[in-house]
Amino acid sequence: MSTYAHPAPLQQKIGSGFASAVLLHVAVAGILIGLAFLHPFHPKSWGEDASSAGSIQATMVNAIPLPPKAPPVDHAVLASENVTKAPAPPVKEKTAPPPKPTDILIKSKVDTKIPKVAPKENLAPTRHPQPVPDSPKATTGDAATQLPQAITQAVNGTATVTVQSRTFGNRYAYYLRIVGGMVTKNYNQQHPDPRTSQDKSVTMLFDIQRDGTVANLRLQTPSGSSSLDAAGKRAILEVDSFGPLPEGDHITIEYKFDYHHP
Amino acid sequence: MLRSALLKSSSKQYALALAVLCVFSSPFLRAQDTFHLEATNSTDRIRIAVADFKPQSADPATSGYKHTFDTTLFADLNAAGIFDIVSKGLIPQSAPGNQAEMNLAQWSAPPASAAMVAFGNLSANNGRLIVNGFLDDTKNTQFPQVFVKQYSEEASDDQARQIAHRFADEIIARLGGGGVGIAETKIYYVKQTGQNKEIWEMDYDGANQHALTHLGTVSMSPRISPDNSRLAFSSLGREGFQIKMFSLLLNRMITFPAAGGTNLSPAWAPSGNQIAFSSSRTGDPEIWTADANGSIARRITSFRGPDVSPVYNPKTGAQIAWVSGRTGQPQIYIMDSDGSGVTRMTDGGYATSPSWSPNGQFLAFAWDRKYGPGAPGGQDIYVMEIASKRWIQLTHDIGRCDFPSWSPDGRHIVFANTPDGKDAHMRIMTMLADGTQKRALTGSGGDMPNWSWK
Amino acid sequence: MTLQSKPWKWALLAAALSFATGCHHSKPLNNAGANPNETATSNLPAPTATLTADPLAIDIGQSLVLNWRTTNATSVVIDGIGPVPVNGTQTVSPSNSTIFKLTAKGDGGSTEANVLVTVRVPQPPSAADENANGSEDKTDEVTFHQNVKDVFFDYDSFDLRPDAQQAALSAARYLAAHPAIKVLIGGYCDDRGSAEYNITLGENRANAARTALISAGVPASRIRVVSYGKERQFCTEENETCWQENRRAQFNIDR
Repeated sequence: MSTYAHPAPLQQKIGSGFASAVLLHVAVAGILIGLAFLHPFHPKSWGEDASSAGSIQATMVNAIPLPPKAPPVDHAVLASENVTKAPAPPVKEKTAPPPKPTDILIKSKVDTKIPKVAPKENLAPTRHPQPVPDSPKATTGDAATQLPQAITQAVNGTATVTVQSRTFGNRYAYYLRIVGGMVTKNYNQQHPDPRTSQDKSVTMLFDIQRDGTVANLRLQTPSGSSSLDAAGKRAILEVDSFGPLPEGDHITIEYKFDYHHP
Repeated sequence: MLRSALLKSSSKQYALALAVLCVFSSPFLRAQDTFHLEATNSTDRIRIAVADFKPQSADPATSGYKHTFDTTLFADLNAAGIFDIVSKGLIPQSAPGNQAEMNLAQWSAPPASAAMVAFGNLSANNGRLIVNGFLDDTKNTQFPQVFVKQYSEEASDDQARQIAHRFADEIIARLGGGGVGIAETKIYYVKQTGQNKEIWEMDYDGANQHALTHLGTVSMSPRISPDNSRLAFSSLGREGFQIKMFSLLLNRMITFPAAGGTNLSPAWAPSGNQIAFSSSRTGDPEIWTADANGSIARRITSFRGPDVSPVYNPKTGAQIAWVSGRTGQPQIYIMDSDGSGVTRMTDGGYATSPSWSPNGQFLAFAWDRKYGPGAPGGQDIYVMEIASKRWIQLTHDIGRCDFPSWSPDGRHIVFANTPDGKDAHMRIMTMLADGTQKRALTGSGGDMPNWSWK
Repeated sequence: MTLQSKPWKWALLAAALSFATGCHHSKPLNNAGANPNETATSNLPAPTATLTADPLAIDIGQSLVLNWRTTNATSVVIDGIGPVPVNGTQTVSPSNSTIFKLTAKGDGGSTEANVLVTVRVPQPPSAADENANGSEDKTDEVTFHQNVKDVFFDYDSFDLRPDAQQAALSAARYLAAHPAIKVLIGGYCDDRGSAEYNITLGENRANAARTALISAGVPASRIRVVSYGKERQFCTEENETCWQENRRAQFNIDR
């Protein structure tokens, strides 16, 4: 009795071996394809989460480049694309609406504004020769150049910061520049929808308190583009503090942004 | 013939299978989604010029103090990270001593083109050093003065430096948008003295390095309390490493209860009333918290494996980040201060030494992403945004880096680095929090820096 | 007679005491800093100088930093370095012990400051470092280490390998045979990795060895554990052999 099994002819063995190898590969491929269809794998790439993508992505680049003032994500009330209704302005402050670009500012309007807005500042509105800042918006006929302003260029438009106290703006023009710079820097990180925002302007109104923090943020003039409105609000809310006010309890700032995508 | 045909078809099938395999496994492969840093361009920074202060007395000592003052002020404003400082070669030659002597047009015109000017006068008389510092807005011809301040101290080189620090901090407070100046902050660190290691202190810019402890043993991990009154650290004694406390007010050691096992890496809660540390008094090193006197100690982790290097969230005090080796190599985790809500932050490699940024949003830590026998990598400083877990690498190819520590303004990070990998050549370096402007603060033998809270 | 002599005795004692305190000088502080030799002239303030070095003792090949402060000086020279600024620091790497001498000259005179720097030949760490003094009975140590071998660990691990288990078992047997000996287990790590984490890793290594001893019957009261992390190295080469040497739990007689 032979203890050896007789091997099948070599050629046949290899042929059958190859066939089974091919079958195995096809089977494995088939299993994988089937798995892919049955259990689609969608990894959550970081930053993909739509609900928080807006504010996080917006702040990510802003956070480390100096000076960093990235906002706490928890306070991102505007994390969603739906803009929450701006809170009603406080009753005691009935400010006249800012002059529209086409309006010609009447002196009397300017005078009535000041005592209402800054009741605590008992400074007589004397007639200082107002320094006229060179305004690149001369084409729109904006004649509100009498009010102290700081104008900063953003990546996709122009920002005008106006303080509703002429004396403050004259004395502390550098502070306005800081306010404009900080808000515009944040604004540069926003990405309002260019299609709906092109050539639109949004005006926000807010107070700066003695310690430099923002209060009473409200939408003064909506632009008609919800993403531009949201971007403007976010840019202001992202500021922790502008630094302590050099004088006074609070000032009111008007921040107007004109969107011009190049 | 049949065989070769079979071979061809089988290799084709094989190739097809391979291709299919690659296509369908690509979702499994996840590339790191790093975020880009934009360096702050000069247009975002305030362009400030620093004039040489005018010497106001003939006292020969004045020139020495003035030189120290001028260079320190320039360095402080330059290091703040928020200014585009006008280089000394571009400023007008005049040194205005007061508002009357200041000609704004000179400074706002090119080549200086400054938006702000810091200037003033300095004099040393009868052992008193008196400095009047002004800050002017060059664009506001009507009301140029932002502020003026007078400083009067005992005349010495050290005071000349300290006055410059205070003046710089005041400028940063006014112009920095609520940012806090760091010119008066200190760095506490480990200094190698032969076989031993002692705790030393220096100014944030590397000046005034001096010893605090003289224990004659290995001491490490210094952590200053939020009110700058006490320094906690760990020290090797007969019973192993123990937590010790040094009082900066009394300038000597104060008692802190010893406990069994190895106790090390203390960390302060922002309230100054609690400390967290690693203790192996129950056998396995775990994270414990106690009050600042070391009593009412409570254990808050309980996993097998080393747990060490805790750090509190300095903004809220409600969370702790720490290093745990529970999965093998050390990784960074975050939990609430009572031990709940454990979240893993790093996904591999060898990660240690977390430091939490003052605004509560970032962790800086040392990470070697390719660590292990056969795949030796480099250990570098990384910053991770906690909410999104995105990270960026701040150091590249400068040697092994470890022990990052944030500055209180959140704009700077100090860390230890050894260019050739040898522990004996460890030195302390500082950089901006985006990785730029790196420079060494100490020579060889400095390690484990800790930046003060204010 | 006695009543009269008592006040005399007290007076004598008082006089003697006051003379004694009068003769008692406090020793001048011997810091490594200033030994000023001031030669003051008329009214101008004399210069002062302090010169310190840290560390004061280094191993060959290391460097140290000289740190000097002077007041009222216009020119400052350090031997071996040359003219230097009035205040400053300088890194130096002397190859043998030297005295650095600083001379500060000013309008009010001149002064000197010296500091002695020691350069050591490095000593290898001895395994009996952690014991209080060196006058142990050496035979006991030698026999102990012959019979009780240290336990070695894998990279970043504190699990006992099979060879480590064996070593622990034979250690336990030896300790059972010598019930008077108490053992101190030291935990060590190789010099890679972070200092703080390594101390806890060393702790876990020592505890693993301790657990092995306890489960082999050694009472816990005879065992003490101390971790050194990577603060004490048995060798300093940068290769796997040396790293393995350092990844250990070491058994020592606890005195």
